Amino acid sequence: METSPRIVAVVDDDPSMLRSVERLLNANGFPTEGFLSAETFLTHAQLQSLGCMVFDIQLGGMSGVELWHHLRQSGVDVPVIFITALEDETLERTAAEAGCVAYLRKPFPAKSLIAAVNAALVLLPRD
Amino acid sequence: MLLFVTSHSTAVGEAINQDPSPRVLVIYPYDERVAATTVAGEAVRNRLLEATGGKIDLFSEFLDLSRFPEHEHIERMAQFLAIKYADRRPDVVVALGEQSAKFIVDHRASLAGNARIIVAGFNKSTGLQMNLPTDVIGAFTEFNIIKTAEFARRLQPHARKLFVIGGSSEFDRWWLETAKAELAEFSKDYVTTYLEDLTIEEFVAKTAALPSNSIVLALTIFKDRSGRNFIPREAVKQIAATATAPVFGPYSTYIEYGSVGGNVVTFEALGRTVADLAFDAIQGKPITHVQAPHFNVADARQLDRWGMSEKDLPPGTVLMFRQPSFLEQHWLAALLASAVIAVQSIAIILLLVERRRRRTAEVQSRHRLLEVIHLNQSATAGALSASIAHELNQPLGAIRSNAEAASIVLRSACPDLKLIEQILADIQDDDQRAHDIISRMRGLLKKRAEIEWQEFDLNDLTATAIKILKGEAVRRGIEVSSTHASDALPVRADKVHVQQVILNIAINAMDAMGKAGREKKLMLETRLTKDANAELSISDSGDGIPDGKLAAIFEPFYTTKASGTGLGLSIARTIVETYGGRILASNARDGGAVFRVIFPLAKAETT
Repeated sequence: METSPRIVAVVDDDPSMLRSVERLLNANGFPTEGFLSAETFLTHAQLQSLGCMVFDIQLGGMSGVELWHHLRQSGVDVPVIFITALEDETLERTAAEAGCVAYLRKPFPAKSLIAAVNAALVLLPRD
Repeated sequence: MLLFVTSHSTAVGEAINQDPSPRVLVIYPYDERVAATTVAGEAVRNRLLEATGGKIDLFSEFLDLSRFPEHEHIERMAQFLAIKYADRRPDVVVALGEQSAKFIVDHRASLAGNARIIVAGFNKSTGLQMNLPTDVIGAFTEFNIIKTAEFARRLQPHARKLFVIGGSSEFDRWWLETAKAELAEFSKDYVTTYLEDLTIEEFVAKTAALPSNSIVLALTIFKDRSGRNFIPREAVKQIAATATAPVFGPYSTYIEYGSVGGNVVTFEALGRTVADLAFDAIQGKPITHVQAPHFNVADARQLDRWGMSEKDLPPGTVLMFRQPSFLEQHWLAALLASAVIAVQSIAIILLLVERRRRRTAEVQSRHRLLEVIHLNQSATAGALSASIAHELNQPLGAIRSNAEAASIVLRSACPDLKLIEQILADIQDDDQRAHDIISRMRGLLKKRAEIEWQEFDLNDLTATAIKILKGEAVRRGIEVSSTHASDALPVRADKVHVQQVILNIAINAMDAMGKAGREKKLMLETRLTKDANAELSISDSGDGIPDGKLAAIFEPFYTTKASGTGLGLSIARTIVETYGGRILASNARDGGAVFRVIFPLAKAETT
């Protein structure tokens, strides 16, 4: 049976942040897969089962934005939500123009993230 | 003038010898050891020698009448002197004392012919009693005991007893009778005793047992009851030496012999008075009776002995033998010492003023430095604000998500309490993380009013600085690494300031790597140097310091950055040097700059 493409991938280099986001999504009924860096995501993520991706922008190595560009260039077209602790309006604008579903600044209200994830799952082309 | 004097003299008559040097004979009543007459006689001689410029013949004769009072002796003496001076008739005869006066008056015809006669040293009433011829002129002295008694009363206002001492010679007895009459009124205020008809031993014994509230007045003792002759002041000396009450006397000659003082004619003054009369007589001027001046005289040593105060002395009293004060004795040394002290004081004051000025300047400059450091801290905080906000937002974001997740979990039918517990633990950790960040920020922004000296480990401080910088480094894509010495590196300084040094150098290094496309690395390394200093080196992978600029980079306002103030490294150096350290810049062999900050260890040895 094909896995429901409703898994939300979360990439954040801050372990506590990653855990809390996953918990929040899980509590709202979304299964998650968490990664601490862009690199581990690229090597371990089950891209086909992903319904949505939540990327932190600043990830130590490759940034969330770079990861997204990389995926798109590789033909992966999974909706993305950026979460960031940075206060960078230029970056936010660039991301929005590139077509991200949402750009959330930490700390963000749960409903913003859930709404964004729901929206992303609706947008999912395969659905 | 000489001609005038000569012709005048001639006109006056034969009285003045035609010899250019007039002859003056001074007759002393006693022997040469009786001070009163010798002192007066010497004063006469000196004054006359001085007045005539030495053109005078002076003769002295001591009648020794105290020891040879017999009439026969006096007559033989008169005959002898008449023969002796037969060819050198004196122009002026000065007779000192009553007995000399009597002698010359009785024998002037044989001895001095037409010489002018001047008598001195006794009072006028005595002169009248003697029926002095009218051409015999006197320099009288009024030895009135009452003035001496009053002098004593001023110094001993609480005295209740009065003792008057007199000898057994004719003169002594006359004196006692005179004193009794003169003191009749004065002695009413006292229990008065006349000590007379006593041997010298009895005088000494009685005066050695007097109550201290006694006034003792010594007249003269030329002879005691046993018939022994005395020079009065020698007798007074014996008495005063052991007396238990102060002894006063009407003679200045007693002063050095234990008398506290009295109203006296100083014999020098008497002598000068007589000499002036004699000089006028030599010049043929008319002369008349005069009164020799009296003085109150006191012996300072006796005032000390009896605990009397100089302040109680009657005004105008001549105070003799006053111990010169230290200043009087060593005035030159004192003056020099005072001058030296004054100069030193001025120098010290100037130095203090200078020191104070310098200290004020130091304090001001330190306050300015602290002010500048604080501005630098604020600027650093500003530069790091983005990364600090980012750092803070991480735990805050996690806390919020965890809390919201937990509330959803709790609303479910069967809440996973284990999960809730994990969530709460994470929330606590994140809260602590946020607190730590704020603490570091507070440390970064801490303003110092004064330097806070503390001892800390440079390793720990470097680790804290790295935590502050980490966020910024990550934001800029810079990899921060560090190694630290295995030894503790105790340094004594203000922690906040040294942290600022590290931040300044590190931020400078990160700025230097801004445009470099290659790998960005910031390396912080602490170590214990061979010469036992604590060293922190901060190296970067930037372009290094341009050649020839190694010296300039620590200068204020030196900057290569558009946004830089050019103060970071300058302030860093100032701070390091304030704490006795050094800061060095160099380029690494494989590129990039290396800054080394070296502080002396707080302790000599580290283990």
